[in-house]
Amino acid sequence: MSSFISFVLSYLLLYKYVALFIVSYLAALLIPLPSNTSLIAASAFASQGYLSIYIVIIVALIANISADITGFFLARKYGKRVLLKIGFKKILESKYYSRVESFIINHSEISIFVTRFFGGVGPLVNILSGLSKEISFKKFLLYGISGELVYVLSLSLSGYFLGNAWEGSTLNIQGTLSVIGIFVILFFIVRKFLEKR
Amino acid sequence: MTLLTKRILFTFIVIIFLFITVSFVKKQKNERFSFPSKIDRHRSLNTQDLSYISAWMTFDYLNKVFNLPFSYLKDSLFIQDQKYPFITIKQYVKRNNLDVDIFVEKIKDSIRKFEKASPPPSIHE
Repeated sequence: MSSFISFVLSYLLLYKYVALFIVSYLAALLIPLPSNTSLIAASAFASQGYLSIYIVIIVALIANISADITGFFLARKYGKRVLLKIGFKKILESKYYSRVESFIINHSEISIFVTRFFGGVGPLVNILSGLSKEISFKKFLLYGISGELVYVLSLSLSGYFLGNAWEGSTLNIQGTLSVIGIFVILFFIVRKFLEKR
Repeated sequence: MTLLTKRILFTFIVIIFLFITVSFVKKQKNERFSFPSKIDRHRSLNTQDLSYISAWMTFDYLNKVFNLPFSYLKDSLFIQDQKYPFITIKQYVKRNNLDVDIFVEKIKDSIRKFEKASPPPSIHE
């Protein structure tokens, strides 16, 4: 285990739910912190009676959802203005950006829901959704909450049932999450296919 | 797409999700697997789990998960730090210029001694 992860886990044991909230919130805002490992570890600590699994799930959910909302609103209110000021004009006016933006607008449900499972991609989609005025907050919130619910429940329940065997299984859990993400993508593809028929 | 088809597809994806999670956990930890009906039944650690102890853990955590009395480790390891038990092993070792590995071994020995003196009740009792 890396010394940085050990450092974060120490703080998780010392400050419990407050540390879990801070790590989950900041990680969901694109700050590189081991949020998956923290959530799995906190759930494993809950299985040993050190924390409560219900509070762990609630804290992680609130932290992730509030970080998603923060990213969305910051991008909607200040996003373009700030990005233009700090030298992102070329990127914002590029063909690549407009292609990515139109993909997210056309497939907003799938992109918001699925990206909750893929670390750093989620916060980027939050920002892009906020920048694009065509995605309503209601829609963003609905798919964001659904995605976060599946993400938090799968990680916390895996950590809880693995107990003190969690350390060796963190990578496998993340792999499983990716498989779930792929299944969700398949679900949306099947849905689109049925709609066309 | 009708509402019914949407609901069927949604149920299908939820079932797949649950199946993957359950089969993954079962595969990873067959002997310790327990269903959510046991969600409030915590599993305390014992001498077989001593290899789990790491330097990033706090004394408070070790006391709780190994069912040790509050001042047991403090007394048996002659800890005089005022932050006990809310201090990690690593922090304590650093403050007192000790060797981490040797100190972790001492903790393991203390827990072994405690369990020998007061063995946990058998599962079959």
